[in-house]
Amino acid sequence: MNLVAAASVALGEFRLDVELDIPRDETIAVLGPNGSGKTTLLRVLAGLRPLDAGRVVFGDAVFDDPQTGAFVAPEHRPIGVVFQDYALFPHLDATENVAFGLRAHGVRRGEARTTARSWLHRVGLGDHASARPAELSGGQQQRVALARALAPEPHILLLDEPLAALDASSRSAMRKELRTHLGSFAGVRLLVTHDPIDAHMLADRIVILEHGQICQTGTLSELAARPSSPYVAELAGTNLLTGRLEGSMFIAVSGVRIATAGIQAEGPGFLVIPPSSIALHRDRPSGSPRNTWNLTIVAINAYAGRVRVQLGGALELIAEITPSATADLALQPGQRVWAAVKAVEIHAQPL
Amino acid sequence: MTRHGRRRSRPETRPRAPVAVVVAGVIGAALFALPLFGLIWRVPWSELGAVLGDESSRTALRLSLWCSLWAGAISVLAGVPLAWLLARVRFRGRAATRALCTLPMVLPPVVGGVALFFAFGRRGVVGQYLDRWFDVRLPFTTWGVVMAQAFVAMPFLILTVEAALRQVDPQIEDAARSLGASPWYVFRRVTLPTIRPALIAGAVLAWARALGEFGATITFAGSFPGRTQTLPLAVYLALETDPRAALVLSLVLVTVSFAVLIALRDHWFSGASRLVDR
Repeated sequence: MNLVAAASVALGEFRLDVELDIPRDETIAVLGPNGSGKTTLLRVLAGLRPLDAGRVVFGDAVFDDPQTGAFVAPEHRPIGVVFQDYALFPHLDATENVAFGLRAHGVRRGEARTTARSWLHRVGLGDHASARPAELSGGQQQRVALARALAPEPHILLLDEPLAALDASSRSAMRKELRTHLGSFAGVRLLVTHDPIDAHMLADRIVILEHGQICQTGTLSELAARPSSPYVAELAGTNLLTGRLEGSMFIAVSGVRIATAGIQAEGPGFLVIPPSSIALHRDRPSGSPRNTWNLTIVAINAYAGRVRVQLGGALELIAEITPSATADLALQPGQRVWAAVKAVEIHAQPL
Repeated sequence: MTRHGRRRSRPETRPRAPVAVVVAGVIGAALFALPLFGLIWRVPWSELGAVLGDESSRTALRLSLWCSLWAGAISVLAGVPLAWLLARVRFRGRAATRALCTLPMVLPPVVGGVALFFAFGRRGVVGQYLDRWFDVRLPFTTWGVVMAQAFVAMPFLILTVEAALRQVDPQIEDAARSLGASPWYVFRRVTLPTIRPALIAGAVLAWARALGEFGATITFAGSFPGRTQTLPLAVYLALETDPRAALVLSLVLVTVSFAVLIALRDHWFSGASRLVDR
């Protein structure tokens, strides 16, 4: 059962015009800055904002079609929504918050509370079952919000900036947890975020939204290799590697060791290398850069006055250089080059 | 609350009051304190029991309670939905409707009574049909008192509840809808509990205003002992015939008003802290 939307909504000057087809068992991240229409899209799918034109269909069920007048109210859609800032009910404790959806669906009180408690256990909040939202930390509120959305067993899970309200330390832990929960949810999953790292870590496919329009769709490495516009390159066109941190040294999955600066950590981590910080050389550079790798040019793509060189081998990287540099180096696909990057240009974080 | 917080954290910023401001302020406070002092000074404490035990006083007191509780209940039952509509639904003439619903707060109560009379009197625009079709007559009846009191009191509830509704995070109601709750379920289980402190404050305020209502009541319902003569009306009439009784009955009203203020202060504080917690 796919969630298929051709959504058109006008909000004053702003227009959202989006076509999406989300299969079951796939996580989609809608990536865009504030004001790009991400939240509006999510509200349209949830039925909290009716369409002006277009159609939203889930399997055989027409959720919204202004032409025929069909409209399924949010309470009758099989959805679970995790709202930005969580929107927990302040007058109810954690158990009652999670039980709310079940109660609204007519489940008896005792049974709803039992189910709610088991959900709180699953998100690691078994000890906070009777805490009010105001007594919980941001990360704990997030878990309650997730449990509350999942408890009525929806077929579509929508998350609005699920990690934006968390501080950096709880953020990476929560990201990992969220990944697990998303993986075990059998249904359509859509999350909205402004953070390319969240999008990459949590989603199978990224949809880039700009001014209410989808400008590109793909995985993060696809978007980085062939950004359709400077906007996409800016937003998602970066190198992101996962691996392990040992002190200030990062060990990529392939075993390549990468020196970083400004971090001391042990355990799983990830690395961001901006494509423009990677320099390409025909011969092995002598001098300062500790991070030099001999890689193969996979492809060369030009966009908006820039050139993106896709590199393969021990590391898969995207380097961005100017067209004149490309000409000077006489770069060709299949050729081997030396890629160099300074440790200070590399941003590493524990996962 | 802010003042307490500021005093604790930055005592040096507390301004020194200019003398002229202090003098004017003291005069202002005296305007409230002196009449109260005069009243309490002259209350014949020895006759307290006798006046309160007197059948006519008890009748007025009973009638006042009965009418004001009904007026308070009607204010809640009609005022909360009205406040919800004003806060949540965009419709043409919403600003005008809001002004209309709060007009009695600034209208002289006597004028309200006159307006009620010409609307619901036996010859009134609506009253003649109530009389002819339903055999219902409101002026100079106990229900007329309730109506006059509700007319004057309900705006206090509407204003308090509407302000609270505007404070409720709309995402909370959206969240409830997304969890399968119908709009009515959301209203009962999410909206109402969230605004509970304001609802209680508004209801008590409206009830207290109804209890003290004078002008609209005497104009629309007259002053018949046992039927429409509420406590404030009794006080006014007793002033000419039995000033001591007037003093005692006034004391009752002052006591009730004070109790309401104290109760509300606690409610407003707990309500405010709850909002801050969130």
